[in-house]
Amino acid sequence: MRSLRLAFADLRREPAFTLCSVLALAAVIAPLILLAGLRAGVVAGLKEDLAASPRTREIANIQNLALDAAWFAALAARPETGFLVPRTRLLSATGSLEATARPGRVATVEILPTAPGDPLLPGIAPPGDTQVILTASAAQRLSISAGDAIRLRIIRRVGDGREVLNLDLTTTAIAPAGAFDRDAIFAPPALGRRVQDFLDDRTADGTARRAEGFRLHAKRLEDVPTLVALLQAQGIETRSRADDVAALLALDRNLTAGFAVIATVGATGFILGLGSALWASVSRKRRTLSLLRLMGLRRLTLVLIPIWQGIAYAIGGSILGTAIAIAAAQAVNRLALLGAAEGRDLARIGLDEFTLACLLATTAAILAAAAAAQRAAGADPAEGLRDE
Amino acid sequence: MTDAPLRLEGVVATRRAGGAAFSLTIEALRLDPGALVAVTGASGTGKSTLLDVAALARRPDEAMRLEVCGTDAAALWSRGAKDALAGLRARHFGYVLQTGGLVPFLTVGANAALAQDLAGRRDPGHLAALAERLGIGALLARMPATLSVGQRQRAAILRALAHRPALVLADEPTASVHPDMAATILALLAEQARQAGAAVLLATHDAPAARAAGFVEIPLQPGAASARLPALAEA
Repeated sequence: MRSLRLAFADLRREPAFTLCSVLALAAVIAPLILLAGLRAGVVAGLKEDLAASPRTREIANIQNLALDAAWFAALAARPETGFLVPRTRLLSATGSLEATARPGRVATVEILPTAPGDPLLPGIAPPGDTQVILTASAAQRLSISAGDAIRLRIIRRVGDGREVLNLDLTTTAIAPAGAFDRDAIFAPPALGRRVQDFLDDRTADGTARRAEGFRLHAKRLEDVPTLVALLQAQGIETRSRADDVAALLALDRNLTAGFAVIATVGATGFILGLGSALWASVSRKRRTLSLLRLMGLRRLTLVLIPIWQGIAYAIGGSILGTAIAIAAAQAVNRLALLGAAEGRDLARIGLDEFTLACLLATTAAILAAAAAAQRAAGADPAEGLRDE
Repeated sequence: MTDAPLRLEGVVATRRAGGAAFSLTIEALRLDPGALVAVTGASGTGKSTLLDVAALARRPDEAMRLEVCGTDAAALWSRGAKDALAGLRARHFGYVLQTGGLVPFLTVGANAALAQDLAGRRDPGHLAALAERLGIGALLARMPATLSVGQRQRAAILRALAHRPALVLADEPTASVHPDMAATILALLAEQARQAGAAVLLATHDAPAARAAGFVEIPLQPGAASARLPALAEA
């Protein structure tokens, strides 16, 4: 392309001017990329902290309820819902657990309902009717391994006496350490209902049951506040980390807004700086452009010359600016200037930031070159005839 | 029959500088292939105005006929077809200006190659042979700023003729060189143009040098706010 060849030939003839222009643009671009990297690093780091534990997305009811199957179906159908299973009354879902092979060593465990897709039990098959999954804490306390037979004992008071329900179960797996901090077993919902029926001295009659609560996990962090608000609107009080998530999302929004303002100011400076440099360059070379027009160059070719040069400056400035920003980011990460967490990069500059910088800088460069291009388009061939 | 590289009839062009205006009337001027015409006269006599109009760089106020190699350039001016005019310039014209008028960021060779590209007549062999004839074969990779004035004018002649144009427009090509060198430059321009079959329209103060190089002189008279190029000035 003729305009491209001429634009680059002109740039090559003035390496010092070209280098200065690229440096000036890099000086504008580098802090913007570093700022974008810091924003990405801070927000992503906090998000990773929250996302590392699926319990962050957990929403639990804090009072007993009476929820029917239609309620569960409606909530399960919402796009924000990641996992939902009914649970029994909060206080009644406990029992005494011991290894069948080592009777006498007992731990009180909570009974947590589970179902396929439980985010607390990734990669673990859901237990069958007489199977359970132990939390790591319970397994350690009772020295139980996957495959061990266990006995769950439920005791109820009848008058002055006590009645005992013994459930012989099999441990199919041990839950990951972070799944649940206390001693507990993950069991099919039916097991929890059976325990509750025993405690209530109620016989299962096959009629539809209402659940006293639920285990709910949002699909994404961002969905937690939405679900909490939805439940609150139904009069259901919940416990969750919605406030933490909301605070993170607010921080992300605020940092993004702040970055947008700073980026706008920087981009304005970039456009004005590059625009004036290109304008001055075209003014300085007006006679040469007129000469090219006299020789028969088309108007479009002349117009494209400052635009190609602007794009070249922008790409050069972006590459250099990104290199400077990466060096600065490494320094920030190494020194943990802003109190970065151990092992986590406070500033993250990747291909996305570089690509974004190139695209924005190129767009800004085209805008900046527009005035210079307009001036180049007006080059008068008669001026080319006159030597100064 | 080959079309004349340039035909002007009833052309009026006015140039305004400051508050003053100068008007040039060209009754008839026809340059046939190989014609060497020198428009001579002091500053302000209309040489530049004539050259601007002939070079299709200035729109005439009136033009009964303004043709370049048979193409009606007056019609292109009236349509505002500036890119079409640029195309005519690229295909049919070459230029030798006061200090060469070379594109400063291109080498000598690239300047000449650009003229060939624009004319659609890429011919590296012709370019190299012409450069040898002009004695600048070793200077093709040099930038114009590194050349002496004499070398630059030879380079300008190279660029002006590299794409085999029908007409070379030369504006004071010897004004910046030593008088001895001026005769050489004009002789070289005339000789190479003659060999290429190109007409040359030369604007110069130096009438004797132009005559010596074989140019037909058209003198313009100073002192008037207007000048007239009579029809008998056909070459």
